[in-house]
Amino acid sequence: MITQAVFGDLMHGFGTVLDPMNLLWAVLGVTLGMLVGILPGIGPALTIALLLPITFNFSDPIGAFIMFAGIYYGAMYGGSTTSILINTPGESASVATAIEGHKMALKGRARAALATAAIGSFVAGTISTVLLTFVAKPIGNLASQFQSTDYFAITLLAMVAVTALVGHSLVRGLLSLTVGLFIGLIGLDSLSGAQRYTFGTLRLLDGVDVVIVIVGLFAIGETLHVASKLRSTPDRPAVLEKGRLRTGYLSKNDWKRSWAPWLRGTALGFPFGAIPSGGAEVPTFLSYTIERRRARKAGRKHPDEFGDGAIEGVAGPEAANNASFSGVLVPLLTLGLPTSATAAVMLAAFQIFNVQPGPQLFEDQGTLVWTLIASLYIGNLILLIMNLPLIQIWVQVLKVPRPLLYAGILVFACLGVYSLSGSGYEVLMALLIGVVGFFMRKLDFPIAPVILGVILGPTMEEQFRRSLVISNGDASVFFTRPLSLIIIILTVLALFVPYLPRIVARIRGTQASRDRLTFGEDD
Amino acid sequence: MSTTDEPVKASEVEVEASRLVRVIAAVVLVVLSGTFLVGVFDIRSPKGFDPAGPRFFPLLVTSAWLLLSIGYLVEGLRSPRTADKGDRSWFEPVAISALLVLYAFLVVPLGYLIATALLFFVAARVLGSRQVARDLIVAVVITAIVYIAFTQFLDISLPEGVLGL
Amino acid sequence: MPRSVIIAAGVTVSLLLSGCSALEGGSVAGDFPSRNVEIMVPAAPGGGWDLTARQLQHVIQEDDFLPGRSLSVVNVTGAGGAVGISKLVTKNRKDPHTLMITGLVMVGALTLNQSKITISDTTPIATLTAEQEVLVVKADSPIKSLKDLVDKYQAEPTSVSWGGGTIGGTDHITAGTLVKAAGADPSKVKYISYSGGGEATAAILSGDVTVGISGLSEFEEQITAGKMRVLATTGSEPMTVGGKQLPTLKSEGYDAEVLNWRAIVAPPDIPEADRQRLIDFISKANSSPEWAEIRKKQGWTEFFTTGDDAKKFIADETTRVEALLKELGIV
Repeated sequence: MITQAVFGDLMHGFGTVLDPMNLLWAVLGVTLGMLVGILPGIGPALTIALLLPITFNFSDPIGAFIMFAGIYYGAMYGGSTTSILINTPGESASVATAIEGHKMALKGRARAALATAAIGSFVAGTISTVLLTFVAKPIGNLASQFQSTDYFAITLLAMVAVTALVGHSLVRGLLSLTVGLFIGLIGLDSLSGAQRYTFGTLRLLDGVDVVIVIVGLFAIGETLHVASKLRSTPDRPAVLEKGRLRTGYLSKNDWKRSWAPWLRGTALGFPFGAIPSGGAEVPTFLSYTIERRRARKAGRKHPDEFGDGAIEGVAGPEAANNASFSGVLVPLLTLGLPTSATAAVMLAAFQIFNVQPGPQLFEDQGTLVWTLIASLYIGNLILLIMNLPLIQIWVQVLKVPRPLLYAGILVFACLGVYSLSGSGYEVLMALLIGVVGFFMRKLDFPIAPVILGVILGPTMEEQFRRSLVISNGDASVFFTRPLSLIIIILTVLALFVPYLPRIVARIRGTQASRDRLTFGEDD
Repeated sequence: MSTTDEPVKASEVEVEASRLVRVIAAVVLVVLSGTFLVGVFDIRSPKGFDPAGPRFFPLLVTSAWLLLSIGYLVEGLRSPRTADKGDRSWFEPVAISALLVLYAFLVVPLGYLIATALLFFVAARVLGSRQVARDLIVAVVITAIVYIAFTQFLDISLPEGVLGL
Repeated sequence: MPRSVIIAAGVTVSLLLSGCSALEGGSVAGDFPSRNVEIMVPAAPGGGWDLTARQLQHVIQEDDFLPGRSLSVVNVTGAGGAVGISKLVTKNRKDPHTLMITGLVMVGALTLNQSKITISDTTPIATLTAEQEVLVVKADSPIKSLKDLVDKYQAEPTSVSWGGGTIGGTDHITAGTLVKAAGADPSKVKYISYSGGGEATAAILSGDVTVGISGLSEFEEQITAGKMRVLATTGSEPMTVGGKQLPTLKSEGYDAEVLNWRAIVAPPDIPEADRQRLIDFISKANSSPEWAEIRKKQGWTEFFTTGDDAKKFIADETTRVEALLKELGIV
């Protein structure tokens, strides 16, 4: 639905962004974003919040927003870089990337992993920005229809659909998940104000920040694990495959395997970003699950590399991650609804400049909105242009001697955790979780389900209980609202459909056809 | 897995820990989840309009956790006895943990620069580095860069400690 | 010798060096300001308290109300302000160089957390600003007036779900205050808490909750756009949005008022002379044209009382809120 008006407005927006000063802000934003994104625990939301006072001095808000968009893209990519190279994702949206990405780095394919992440981010960012440009209003209105029962149904669907993260032992995988769910319970119950598992300390009243869980389980857990087997493994730098091919850092086969996951990741990231309480994490995990399942199904064509560095497992989640940002902007710009931490900070920024996002924004502040959208295109492009050459530099990280690398990881982990709260207490908390992460590695428990539990658990409980409070305890609300019912049916399908071909085949007594089923349980 | 680890195929990953360690872990999990399950009933549950209440999810989660832990214990007890791979050491992880505890307590009084440089230097030594001069230089340089970048550019204040910078 | 140490994030560049002197510790009686001053925000950067502190800092520096000394803002997060206030009351005792922003929300949070420390344990310097709350319904709601809402509640309390921010916070207190003023039973208030205004706005627009409560600024855009209808604002001065004067609780016939007030307090046991100096210094900032400008821009009403008046106000509010939260059945 390309209307002439939209196109004209957008061109005008580009005119503003392409001003050299604004381009400079974009480059500065991306650079700053990448730097903080590399540090575990310091995400785009915190960075933008801290930069807000500086932007008070900007005479017009456009430069500030261009920089913020750059920071977000930069930070997301920075987080992926550490996920891939040293298995230490800094925020929840890069956890899915770490699973296959780090395995790729271990096999010497760090460059390909970084390249598919960068190009995938660009593709997803651009497509989703196009969607934002043209369908922001209808999608925003649709998103505002969601009620608590629908949110509950969605989290249930997400929980069921991402069971692929459970790994090869159901018991251990589910144990990881329940531990994550338990961590999510700690703190003041938001609906009743009751204290749960706070053990009488004030510190636990706010719960355990997911960033501390991530930094503890990954950065500190990994370091302890490496430390325990120092004596048995020689310190030799990881091998790197030979550098640039004629087709860039990606081989022809890599391109072939990456483009579809990029598109599927975009298709997941954008809508999940747009619904309130969606965010970037769920679509990345979903994308990982779908890619893994498809790889299984297509196992004949090329060997199923999942668990051993499959490029699809990096391409999909990275695209989903980036696409979700444009999604998040849909309710933010059209309804004034912030659906993620970054969006909430951006909303605050809008308000500082006396710009009120909402139904009137496109009319009242047309120039600003279109410039912001144009700056997303530019931010994406700058990220790509800067990062492809930088890959050569990033991979040097792998050549850092092991003691220095892991000592450095500890320093940055502590820094991220410390700057969250400004107290040494959180460092102890992260260490405790790190020790858990260490034993999980020893005992071969998967790590990602813990993060999933911490993220999804609280939302799921809140929405479930809100639904019941609103309905005065009538559980039928989950089935009488059409949208919820549809999602719950999808959830049930997700549980059973993967088995259907086998069941049908057994009835017919023939070999099951390997068709395209995307959701569901496996193994 | 470390970057220098031999490439592992996930499908053939063996559990590193011995059966004994696995059984102990399972017992710990059973005890923890059992305690937390009992703890559900300590959660203040205001009677009122919330049909599920603040105890409902904790009850679900801890029950599932307990059941799974028992399942894991049974699995462990049934599995064949395996020895711990003898090449694993406990000294380094314990030393690193102790170092982090010290750091948590000392970072404020000593100040970010000194505490962090020490953390880096000692951690590198524990992790096997023997090049004192190199480690010291890297420790000081990294810490200084971080400190300046954070306090000057990101406006995050870090403890100044005894240096009073 | 107490050693206050700068922790937490977010100080403007110009102030970075100010923290050094915080280490000198120990104040000499009655010579404020003998070193640099710190305003503690007991919450994360970006919220209402944080904004108050930073705008105040801006005014104080701009007009040089602390000659030769600098003023920094530090955030001490945790438990709705309980971590911050316990630090102020214990670690910063007797030290007039650390001030803290507080407000109505903290009263509720401390009560809910069963904290032994209350705001009355500090030395109140001044109340600063107040923000009105607003009760809204979705534009197509059958509820046309505050009376409709109250009638619906009195007929069947469970038929009304009230959506707002943190449990025990200003929005929750507003719901309780209204119900009490209408002579109904507050223990039946079906309050659903949402994190942040965005979530609550979504819940109102989707029809999830019957009525939404928040600060006016959260809903202003939706009200102007005609997506929400205002039932009442909670102050005594009628507010105007989009050229239309809004009804107040009082104009709708309910004798009640709720103001989301914010105040600045000092640690306990500071020398009396210093307390007076602090009051003078904050009074100067409060009467500056810059601060008036900021209040106007942020939609804050002036709500300035100092010293003993502020102390009495805070004590009264604490008593009132604690009693109300009991009646609401959450503590």
